[in-house]
Amino acid sequence: MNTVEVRSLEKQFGEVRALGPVDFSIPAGTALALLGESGSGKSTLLNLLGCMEAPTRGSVFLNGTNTAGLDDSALSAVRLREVGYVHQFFDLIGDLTACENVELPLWMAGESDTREKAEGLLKQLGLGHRLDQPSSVLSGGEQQRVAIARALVLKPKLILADEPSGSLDSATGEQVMKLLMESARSIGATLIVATHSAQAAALFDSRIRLRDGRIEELRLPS
Amino acid sequence: MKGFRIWGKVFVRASWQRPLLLLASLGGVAAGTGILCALNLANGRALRAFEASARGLTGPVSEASSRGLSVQWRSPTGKMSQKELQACQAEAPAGLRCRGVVTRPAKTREGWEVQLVGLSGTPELAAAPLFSEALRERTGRVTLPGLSEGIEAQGTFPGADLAIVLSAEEVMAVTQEGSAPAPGRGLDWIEAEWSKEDFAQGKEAFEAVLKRVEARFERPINRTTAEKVIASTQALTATYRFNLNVLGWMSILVGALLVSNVAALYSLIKRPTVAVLRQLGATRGQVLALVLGEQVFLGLSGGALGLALGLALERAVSGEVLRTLSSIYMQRAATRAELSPGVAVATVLAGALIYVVAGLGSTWKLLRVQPASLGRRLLDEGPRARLPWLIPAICLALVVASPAVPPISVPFLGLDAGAGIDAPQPMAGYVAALGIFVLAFAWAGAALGGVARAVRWLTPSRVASRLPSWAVAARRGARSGLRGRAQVATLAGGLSLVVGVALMVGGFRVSLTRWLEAAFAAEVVGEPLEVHLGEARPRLREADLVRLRGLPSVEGVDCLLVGDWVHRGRPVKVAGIEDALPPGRNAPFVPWILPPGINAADTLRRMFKDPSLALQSETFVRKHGGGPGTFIDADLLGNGKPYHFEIIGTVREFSSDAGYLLVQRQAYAKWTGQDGCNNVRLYLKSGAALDAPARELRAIDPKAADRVKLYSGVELRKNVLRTFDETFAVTDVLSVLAAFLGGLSLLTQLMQSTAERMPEWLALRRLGVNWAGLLRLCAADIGLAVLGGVALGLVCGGLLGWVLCYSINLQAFGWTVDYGSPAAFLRIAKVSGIFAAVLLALGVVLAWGVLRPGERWRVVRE
Repeated sequence: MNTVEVRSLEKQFGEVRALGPVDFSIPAGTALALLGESGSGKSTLLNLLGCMEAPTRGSVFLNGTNTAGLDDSALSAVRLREVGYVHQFFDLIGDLTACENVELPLWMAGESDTREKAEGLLKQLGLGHRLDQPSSVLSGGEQQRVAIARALVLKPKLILADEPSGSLDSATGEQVMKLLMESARSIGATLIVATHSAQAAALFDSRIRLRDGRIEELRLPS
Repeated sequence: MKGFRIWGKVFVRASWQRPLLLLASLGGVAAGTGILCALNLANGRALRAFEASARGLTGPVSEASSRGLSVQWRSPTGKMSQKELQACQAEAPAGLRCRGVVTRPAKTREGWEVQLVGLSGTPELAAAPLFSEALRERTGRVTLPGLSEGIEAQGTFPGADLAIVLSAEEVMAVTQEGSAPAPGRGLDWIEAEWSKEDFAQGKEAFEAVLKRVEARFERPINRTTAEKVIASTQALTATYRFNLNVLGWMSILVGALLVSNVAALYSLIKRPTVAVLRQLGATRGQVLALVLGEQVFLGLSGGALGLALGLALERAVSGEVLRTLSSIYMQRAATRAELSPGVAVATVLAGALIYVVAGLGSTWKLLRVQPASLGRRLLDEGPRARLPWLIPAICLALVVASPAVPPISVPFLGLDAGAGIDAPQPMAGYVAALGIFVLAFAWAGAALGGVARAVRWLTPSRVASRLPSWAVAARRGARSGLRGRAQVATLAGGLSLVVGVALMVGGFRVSLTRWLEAAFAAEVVGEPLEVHLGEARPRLREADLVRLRGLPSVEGVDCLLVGDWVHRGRPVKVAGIEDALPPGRNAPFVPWILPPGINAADTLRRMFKDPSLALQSETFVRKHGGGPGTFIDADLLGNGKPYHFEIIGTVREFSSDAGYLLVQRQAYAKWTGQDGCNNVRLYLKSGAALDAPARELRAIDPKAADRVKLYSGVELRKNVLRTFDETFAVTDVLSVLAAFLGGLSLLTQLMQSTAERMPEWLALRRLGVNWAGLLRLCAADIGLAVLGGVALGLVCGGLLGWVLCYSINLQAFGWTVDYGSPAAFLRIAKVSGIFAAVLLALGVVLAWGVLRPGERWRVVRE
């Protein structure tokens, strides 16, 4: 079964076409690198896949559901339950602790035992000693691990990462990337990582390369 | 020109593109300046009412008056008599022109609020009724209650106020000071001026004639002039004006807190622009010019709005309040407000000044922006204070110490004039009151943090899933209290004004109610209408008192004598009371500070047995010292033969700030020679109707019934409390002002959140928070600020109320009220509850208004 299926997807900002039309399907459990120059449409594609923006034309099917016709509340629910997002600049709430940042999606989803779940996950990611530290005082690598934990905590089917190592040094970046792949694999999620880094891209078997909003190269598992 | 273009296009545009923020900044300035302007206008109106009250007939100054050849005679204790007018008129052949004057406000049946000027013994009456030119422009005929026929203008006299000249008897009939005109009724004053034209030589002759007239007076009468009366009323109103202005400046301070908040937000928004300008080569001086230019522009605009607001406020509220005040304290209706160019310009300039001063901190931050700081968006909190407890400790010390610091004379405030007022002012109390607002700011971060921690404690992880918005807001607020402190301080500042004044007014009302219930416990109150020659106020004939005591429906009659005297150079009231209460009835004066081991009833019993014992009111103690167990030598008659009293207790009294001395009726009569009751309270037999005494008296002696007005004690108490409530209606304006400022502060909080927390909210949106969730989060943030602001406002308001009661009120008037009565706290709880609910609702509405435009989110995302 395909986690993601994209049909004739297009996005325009005014007169400028940022993406498309593009068509592809990604099987469940795939780890895929999204490559391309700046302005090629990587972030736009991630935003469309993550239901953060509505396409101008075309459809995105997530786990068989067409997201094009959903309203804001339904899209928000999809983002909460089906998609995990890891951003280059971590997107943590600085005044919340590492643990509270990870508990946040659990609270929003009305889950129980939130502290235990968040704590367990952060300990797995090597942050057991930082649980009650405000996230703003953590190092870049630690913040990104907290962001990964937050993306994973509700076990989504799709994890999107936009330049997750972009703000980190190469060694830490590589660690983060591997951690992300391992974590996604451990919960059976599809992982799509937008990156500039050839070194990072080399870690992935599957890839989509964009140029001027169109697919230049598409390599997916057969 | 180039600089102007930069200012307009690059700098100001950022402000104009944020209309809600613009509204908040203009609103803050307008609220502060508007209140100050309204108070100034009200002051001016009151002052003119006092002046008009002193001058009587408005119009051009006569030549005799301008040459100092005119005088007024006023009784130091009340009315002038017809006999005294006749003493003046007896000198008409010698060149003295005399007239008696009575002035009263009245409302015509057509709805005009006019000033009635009643004249007695003057040929001008032949041409009456005279209308002022201002009234004649509006109408030539009015109908007055109490007069059977309408009044047609027979002529006019100069004047911008609405006034009518009638005979004194007609004025008294209109104002129901007796069922029919009678020659014995009192005049407010007697005017006399030189009628001969030998002004240069007439001074000595004029003086000689005046002395002859005064020799005929049977009691001491003050000789004065209209100008002197006006000067003394100006001195009196200087205190009033000063007190109101203190209130106005407090409003300005609260408005300035809001402006400071908005200015901080502007600096946050403009930081990138300033960084770009600095990168492009702008100097700090140019940046300063840009910032100041905008602040002055916004401040002037806010000041202009404040001017309009002030006019509207004055018309809507002050007019009502002043009308009530004038009906109680003046003989003149409050005139219309007049906006002088000085007040208008000062209001607008005050707006600019407030903005620049309140924005100093933000201006300083913008000046420190380095070209390299482009892109840093978060507010710079600056270094933490080294001694965070120091400022709160100083403020608290000021509050605690303020009652102990004696009032201070401040000559440059122009309060040190005569008219029997105390020149020293409770300056320590005023400084402490301002200190409380500083305290509100100093504690705001802690208050927000405290509330957030409390909510965090109430929403542990296992509960957070059910209240995620509050859980997130509480955790964030607990660690970033300082960022929201300006909003909390503004809320708390506004609420503390409401709470402080409500505590004082509430306490005052409770004290007044208790006093009224004690002093006017009788079912029926009797007010004599007959003024006897040479006496200060109307009194009852002894025969009439005997008749009242013999009425079938009456169980007992309590008589009270009151006189206005001077003790040690200051006005004082002396009351004579007698032991005439029916069994089981409480005395009208209840001693509440007594020597150990003796109760109130025994104290009164002792006094009724011994004419050398007396009670003091607390105001008297405050002004003249003493207390139970001390002795007083009162030389009220000024004849060098003081009366010696032992003080045996202190009573509460709210009807005068002159201070009371209470003695036996017989002692008072022996001492002053006055024995008629000035007030009687009738205690009815069980089952008797309230109107029975009046009916019975009229049946026995219709003339005696004309000499005393009988009315229900309940009605009297109700009327006094109604007047009190009307007088203090201004506190409702404070509540509205506080809610307005609170709303604006919420608005700025939202704007600040939007600017500062956009990345956080974007992250939450990516995490799956929908619009409603974001709105709930925003409402929870606002809810925390409201809770923090209300909690802090209650604390600061409690302190302010304490300072108002025990420092400002006590030192200014000599008496104080019960602080923190249950009724006052209930009222405050109600006010705070409504305040919090309104602000929360407003906050949600504002959050909705700001968060709806999804475009902003998209633009930021791109």
